[in-house]
Amino acid sequence: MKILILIGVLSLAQSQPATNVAGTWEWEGAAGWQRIILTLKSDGSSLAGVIRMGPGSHEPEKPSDFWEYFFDPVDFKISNGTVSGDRISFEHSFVRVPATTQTLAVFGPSRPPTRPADTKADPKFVYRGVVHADQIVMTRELVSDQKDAWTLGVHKVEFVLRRVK
Amino acid sequence: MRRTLQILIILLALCFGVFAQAPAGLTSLDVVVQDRSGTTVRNLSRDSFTVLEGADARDIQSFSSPDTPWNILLLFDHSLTWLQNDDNRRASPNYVVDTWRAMAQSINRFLANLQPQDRVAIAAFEDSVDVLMDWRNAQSGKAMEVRLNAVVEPPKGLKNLYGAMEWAVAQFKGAKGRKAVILFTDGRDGRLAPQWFTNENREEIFDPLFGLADSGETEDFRKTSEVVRASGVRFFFISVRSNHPPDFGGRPVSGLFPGAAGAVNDYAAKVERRMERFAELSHGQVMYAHTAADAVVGYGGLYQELMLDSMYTIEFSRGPRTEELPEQIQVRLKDPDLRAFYSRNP
Repeated sequence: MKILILIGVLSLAQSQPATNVAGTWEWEGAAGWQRIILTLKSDGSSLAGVIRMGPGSHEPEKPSDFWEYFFDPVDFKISNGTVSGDRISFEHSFVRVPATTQTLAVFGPSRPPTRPADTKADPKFVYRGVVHADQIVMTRELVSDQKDAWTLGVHKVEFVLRRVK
Repeated sequence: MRRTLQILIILLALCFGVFAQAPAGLTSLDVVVQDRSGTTVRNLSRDSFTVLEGADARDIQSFSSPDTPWNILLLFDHSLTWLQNDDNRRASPNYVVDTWRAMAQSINRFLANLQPQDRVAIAAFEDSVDVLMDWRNAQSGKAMEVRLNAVVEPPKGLKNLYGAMEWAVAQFKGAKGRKAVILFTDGRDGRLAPQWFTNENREEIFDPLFGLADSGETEDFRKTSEVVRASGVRFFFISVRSNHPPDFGGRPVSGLFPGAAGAVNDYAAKVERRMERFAELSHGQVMYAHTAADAVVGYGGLYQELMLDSMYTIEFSRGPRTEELPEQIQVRLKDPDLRAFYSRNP
């Protein structure tokens, strides 16, 4: 009998429509400057949108705080987005900036960051989230098709986004 | 005064994790013995020692006298991270190369202190490992030439400290005698470091999730810890400026982001905790140097400072564990005129 009930519950869960995740979600770090804004659009089981990194929600108060370079938000277009029940996933690629280039790009002559020569494919971040009412418990994992020296380890970080009303 | 200083140095050297669980389930204990005049005694046999756990004598399963050869791998963090933030670097354009030349001299002083039966090898690492000198017997009469080009070249990837440690363990395969790695590093494995990346428009961002717990790094750390623990290889860390804030082009991250100092402090603390755990698991220790110059100068005397030339290593089985506090370990010597120094707080 218990098994029948369990099967019934599972069937019900599977037949549930995808959770409505469309809208804007926000995570802000305790330090204040860390911020992620996730804007999602759903179409059936597919998910599209943009993940915006930085700036913090508060404007710098004095000139020494104002590092425009770091406080300009940067958008990453998400791909392979799916939603199934209360589970969502998506990803975006990025180019890692080697330390030597970071120094030049930020403080030295203008020079666009370049992909390290020994890296054939861009690494990507894969996000997997569980939606609970007005929050998403999200895991971001770094995935690289190629084990290159600039992508060390997996890097798996969890954070919680809250719906912006 | 001198005698007090001697004892203090011995206790300091021994108080860092000299008890460790040896691979075969044995507990390992380092002991230094002095006579009444403070002279180190190096010629005792196994029978000279009694190990007590509480009131119970324990069988000594394994005994290494100070004459037991050491196999020592000198492993250098070759990236510029421990030098590039050094205040002196801006005063001299040749600072990096000059520092490595000074280090080469210190390495030669270190090698000159080895016992003839010891073996030594030298390597440098960043994203990969570069062998600078393959295993050879100590004191073969030649000063070591560090290939400077190998240690000052820019890195080709993130610092893989954990990978280098696993590589180091593998280098002792088949080695007879005691095994140690002296690891000169700031401890900043690339898995822990703050990351930067760009989008497709090459707009750059500092990872906003920097500072959050990274379970991927934790898993890699656990895996390397297990390799280290099971290896029987001791890791002695010479840590250089590990608590210095991460720096990009001369400006610390903590200065770039209002409120970021907390995350940066957490990062530095984690780097040190990781090294201390590796040292604890391997029966080694971490020694912190405030400046690169201090570390370079002190390197030449490490063999004595670590007391590798005067250390007995005793391995024994402890009694069955109980819910109560573990019994105190004591080492007694047959000769009442001699005194044994070892940690009293396993």
